[in-house]
Amino acid sequence: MVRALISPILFATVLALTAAVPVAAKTVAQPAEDAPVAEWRRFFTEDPDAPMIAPAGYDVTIIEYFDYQCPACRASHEPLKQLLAKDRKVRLIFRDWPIFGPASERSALLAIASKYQSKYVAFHDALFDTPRPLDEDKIKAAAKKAGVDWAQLQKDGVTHAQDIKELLARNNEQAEMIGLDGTPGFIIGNVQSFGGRTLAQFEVSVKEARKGAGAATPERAKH
Amino acid sequence: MILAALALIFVADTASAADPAKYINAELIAESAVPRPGSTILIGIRMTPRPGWHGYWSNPGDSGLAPSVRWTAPAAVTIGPLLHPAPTLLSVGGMSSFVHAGPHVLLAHLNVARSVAPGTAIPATGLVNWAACTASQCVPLHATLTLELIAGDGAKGADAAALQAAARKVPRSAPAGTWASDGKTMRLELPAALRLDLHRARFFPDDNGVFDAAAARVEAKNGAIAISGPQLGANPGTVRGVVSDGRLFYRLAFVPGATAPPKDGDQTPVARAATDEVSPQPAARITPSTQPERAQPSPESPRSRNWPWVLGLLGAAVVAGTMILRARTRG
Repeated sequence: MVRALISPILFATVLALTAAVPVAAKTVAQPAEDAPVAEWRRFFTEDPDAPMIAPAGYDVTIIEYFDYQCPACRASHEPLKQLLAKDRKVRLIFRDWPIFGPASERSALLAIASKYQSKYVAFHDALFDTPRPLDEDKIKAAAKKAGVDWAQLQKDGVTHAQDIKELLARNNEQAEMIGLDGTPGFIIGNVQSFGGRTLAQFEVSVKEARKGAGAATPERAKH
Repeated sequence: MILAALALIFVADTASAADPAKYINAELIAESAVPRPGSTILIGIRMTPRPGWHGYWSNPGDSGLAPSVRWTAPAAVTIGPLLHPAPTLLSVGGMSSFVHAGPHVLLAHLNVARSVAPGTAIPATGLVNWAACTASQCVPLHATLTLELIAGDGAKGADAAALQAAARKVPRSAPAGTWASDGKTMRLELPAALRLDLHRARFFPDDNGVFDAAAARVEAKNGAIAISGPQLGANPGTVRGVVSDGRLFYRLAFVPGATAPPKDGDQTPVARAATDEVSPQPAARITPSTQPERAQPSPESPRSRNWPWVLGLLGAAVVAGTMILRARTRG
């Protein structure tokens, strides 16, 4: 339904925007349909609730829409990690989009909750390294491996339930807006695509994003 | 409860999104549209992947998601568990998945109680959830499919032959084998009667974390076939699964035991030609009793532990179904 309201054309316009917008320190709500393009862009890239890895002086942003149980997401997890290790000017924004059932949703919810104890990236890695199908025991084991305080995680999951729920809803809206039927989905610079990649393919996309008119200008680093 | 509500939102949203025909189309077919009261017929979900897309076996392997169905039917109709053909191995990015790469049928047995009067409508509806993937993309798919059955004389329909062919592809139960392990390598000894192509035989376990199926090798020793591979985790009790060479397939259990001593008169090595000459015992008509161990979702399924999810999913299923039906009606 969202897709019907916000056409891909509008999204293309959003992506065509070259100027980055200052970071706001509060939740970026979904803009009105006729909102300025800059506002739409912020909706995708400057969501303070969305976990991210943002090195100082980054010049390309990758947004990933993914599910912890999706085989193709698992297959491109390692290449993505390698890319970030090699290229220290890439920002990665994690858009958890649990579409493969309850265990995926549970994993996404707890992964996001772990960001309140600054463990998101470690927990994210551990979840992708856990043999599927995920269940509560395996999620708990992954949390332990990532050094997550399980009791605190449960508390944060409750305290921040509304924020997490709204973030997941925004992620879902965005994924639908850009026409994703499944995972993983990527926005690299101003180009969106459906499907996992190898390290070499990620590198080509990042290179193109840097060359392209739409490459994001550096912003101040976030934690 | 919040989680259950989320499940509802997301599954429902997704249900409205992806069109199965673009990935793996699912269609519900029956051996007879007019099953005779007191009889059991074959029904099936006919999966037709677009080129490049695959679906998953009952145990999808390291990654992926098994298809599931939730049936709704009158009380006089009972439907058994989904029966899969043997899978094939797909290794991507270091992960091994057990998949169905081409068109395939997931079978089930549908029984109509003797008490049903001929002419009675006995519609059976399945809410089917399945995943379609390529090496780089995965799409969750959902459909509500209905068979408009009417109790009758059991006359076979147009899909009867396809269903019977599918039944011949469901691995038949074979006698148990044994496994032996030194803690690192697990050796699965097949019962002597099975004749498989040694170059292609593979074991697909029902549960992960026991045996590394992708790294396994087939050995012929003293006239017996064994499949050896890295053991994962602690010693299991009984190891269940399907052994297949792509042409012959058997469902069997391996029980702990010493390696069976070679029998006198056996030839070594197992003649490869022998595997080619045979057809296995004539493909038996599968009866529900041959597949007892697959009767329920695997115990590792999170749903079995988290009943609130089931409610959420069930709710979502209803919403999804309604949306699809509404969309279809409109369209």
